[in-house]
Amino acid sequence: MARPFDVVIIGGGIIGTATGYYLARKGLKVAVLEKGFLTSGSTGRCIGGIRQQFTTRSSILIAMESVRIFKTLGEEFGFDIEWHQGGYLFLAHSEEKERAYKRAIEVQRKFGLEVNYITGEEAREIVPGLNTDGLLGAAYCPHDGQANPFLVVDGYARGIKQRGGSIFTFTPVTAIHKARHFRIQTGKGDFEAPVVVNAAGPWVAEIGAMVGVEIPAQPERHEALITERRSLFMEPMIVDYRPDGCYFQQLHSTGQLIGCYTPDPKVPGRDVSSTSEFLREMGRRMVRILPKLGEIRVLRQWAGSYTMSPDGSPIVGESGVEGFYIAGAMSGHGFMFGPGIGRCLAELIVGNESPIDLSEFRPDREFVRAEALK
Amino acid sequence: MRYQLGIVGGGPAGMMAALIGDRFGIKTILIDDNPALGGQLIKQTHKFFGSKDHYCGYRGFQIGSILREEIAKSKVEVITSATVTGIYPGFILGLHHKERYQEVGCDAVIVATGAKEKFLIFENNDLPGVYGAGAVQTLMNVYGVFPGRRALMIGSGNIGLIVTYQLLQAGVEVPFLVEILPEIGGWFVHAAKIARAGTRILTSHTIISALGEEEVEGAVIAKVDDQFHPVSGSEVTIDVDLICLAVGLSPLSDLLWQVGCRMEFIPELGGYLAWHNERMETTVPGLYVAGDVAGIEEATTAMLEGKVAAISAVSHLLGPSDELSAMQREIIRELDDLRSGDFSQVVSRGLRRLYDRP
Repeated sequence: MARPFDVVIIGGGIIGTATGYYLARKGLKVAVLEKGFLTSGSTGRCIGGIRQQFTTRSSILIAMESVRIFKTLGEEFGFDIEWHQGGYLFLAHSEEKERAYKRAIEVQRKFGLEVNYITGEEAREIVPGLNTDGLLGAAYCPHDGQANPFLVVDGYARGIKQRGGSIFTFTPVTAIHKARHFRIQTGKGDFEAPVVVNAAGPWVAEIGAMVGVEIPAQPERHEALITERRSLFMEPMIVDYRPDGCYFQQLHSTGQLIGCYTPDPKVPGRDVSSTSEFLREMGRRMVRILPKLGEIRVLRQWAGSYTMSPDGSPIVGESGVEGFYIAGAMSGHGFMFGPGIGRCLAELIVGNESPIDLSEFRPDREFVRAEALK
Repeated sequence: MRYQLGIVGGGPAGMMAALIGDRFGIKTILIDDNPALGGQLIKQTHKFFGSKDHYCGYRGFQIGSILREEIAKSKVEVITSATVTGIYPGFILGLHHKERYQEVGCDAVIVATGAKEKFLIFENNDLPGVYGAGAVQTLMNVYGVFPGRRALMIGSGNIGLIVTYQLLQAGVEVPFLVEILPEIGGWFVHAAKIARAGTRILTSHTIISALGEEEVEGAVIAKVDDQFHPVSGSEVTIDVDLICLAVGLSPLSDLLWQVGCRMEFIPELGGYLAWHNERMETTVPGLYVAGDVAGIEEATTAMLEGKVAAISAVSHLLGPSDELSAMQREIIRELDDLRSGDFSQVVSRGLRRLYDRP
């Protein structure tokens, strides 16, 4: 006997649990199937940054929607999700970057995002000790922020259960058959639902293939580290997009510094082992930006997957198979987009218009316009 | 820097492994996070039993000194006060040493990181004055620090019994030793010694709570039933300022998880450990284990395992030979002999379970 649900969601990360939560809030009977534990894919490996500085319409709008949700999510859950609005600071060390940021700011402001191009000196006022050698200026949005991915997913998951939904962990999906409804086979029995949401993160393409849907998503390894605690001294996430740059922030909740960089060349695949090179390089790169970090100790390193789409924007919407929805290929922005995407996708699934225009994320798009601030 | 053999942990297993590597002309580095080599031997003041081949009659710290001197005379390179923080692809060992991050590349690795003390959950167990028995031993025997005035020992395994005796020798009163099982766990000879010195060994008893605000000022102990539940009404408050936990050890296996060894849970051997065979080979080719990290035992078996692991590493590096395998078989036979006694039944059962897993 298959267990019947209104919607079966595959993936217990931010996307799956947020979508499940907003569906459950609408009274739907939701099941979340997770092959490991909640957050065991990409969500629990991200560094928790939340920004709105993007260059394409849907990304800017979904990020702004997510920030609106993050602001009150703690209140909604009844516990602190460690949301803190410390901003994002994009450093420009070349005229090319400077031009790109200024162009991006023009676009972002059209959507009402308060973001400014500031001088290197102003940037140093925001981040005391910032190395301004060769720094031309920075794009700064004080309304970006950070939150704790584990707490957010926990809140969404509790919310699902409180509204009659179910979470099945250590329940890997092995096959999906489409008849009148979807029949989802797992290691722990069968499930049945008219609607399936594929929020499987790095496995999104494999889950798609189970119903013959091709999803152009490619996981890539990104490594990260976290340091010991320091008293709070910096508010924003620092983003250094030089080829040997990095991004890091101080967690407002603990004072630890957490960060990562985009490897060059990229490392395709789902391997999430750590390298010695990253540990060395990340330390060097952080210290170049903030020399006073030279004496801080690294506590831990790990790796996770950025699941990339060809254009760097998420793939969200109903696929060619009716009732089979995709919410994947977040391209490194799953946590920050999660609440907004969950809320919009829930509306789409119940037949409403999405409150945010998600057309740029459509699964059947041409993938030609690249997101510049990947 | 590149070495043929990297050994993580300079206790009895690691030191012995390094000496074997050196004997076969292997370029070997031995890394330990303490200021001096020796591992747990440096604080062991009791005499070892067994045969002359296994340092019988010597005290633990003396065995440590002998091995340390042999290593000093060898070509083994030693780095102390260095923590191996990770084993990366290509056997690159990440080291935290003198507040700097360094890397050491190796062709083969032996992990001999030992064990950590298990803790016990009870009320106020975070008060200063609650120690692991091993920690108390280190305080007294290595640093010459008096750990307390009156102690409660918890656990009657050999460590609990021996540390109780050493506390008594140091002039610390030990009025009670509690043991949750109905029988004493360690050797009769050790138990008899502390009983003669006045320590009351209470079997089927456990600790309920530590008392005190800033530090331990007392403890509540109670009888337990056959389900190990405290019997209400049997609580007794005792006046102690030191609570010593000797409730077992678990393998210090973090590096083995990180490097991707297949891990197995074998309670008889202390918990999670890397799967290995009797040649101490793990599921990662070129990576071996020895000593407590390969299953909780004691220093004599650790030294023999160190030899076995080193011979496996030498075969891996130089190619197998009849001489090496004959030598290894001989040591494995010695280990079997040592483990044939009554007190090794649990370990032997654990090892059988481990070896039986494919």
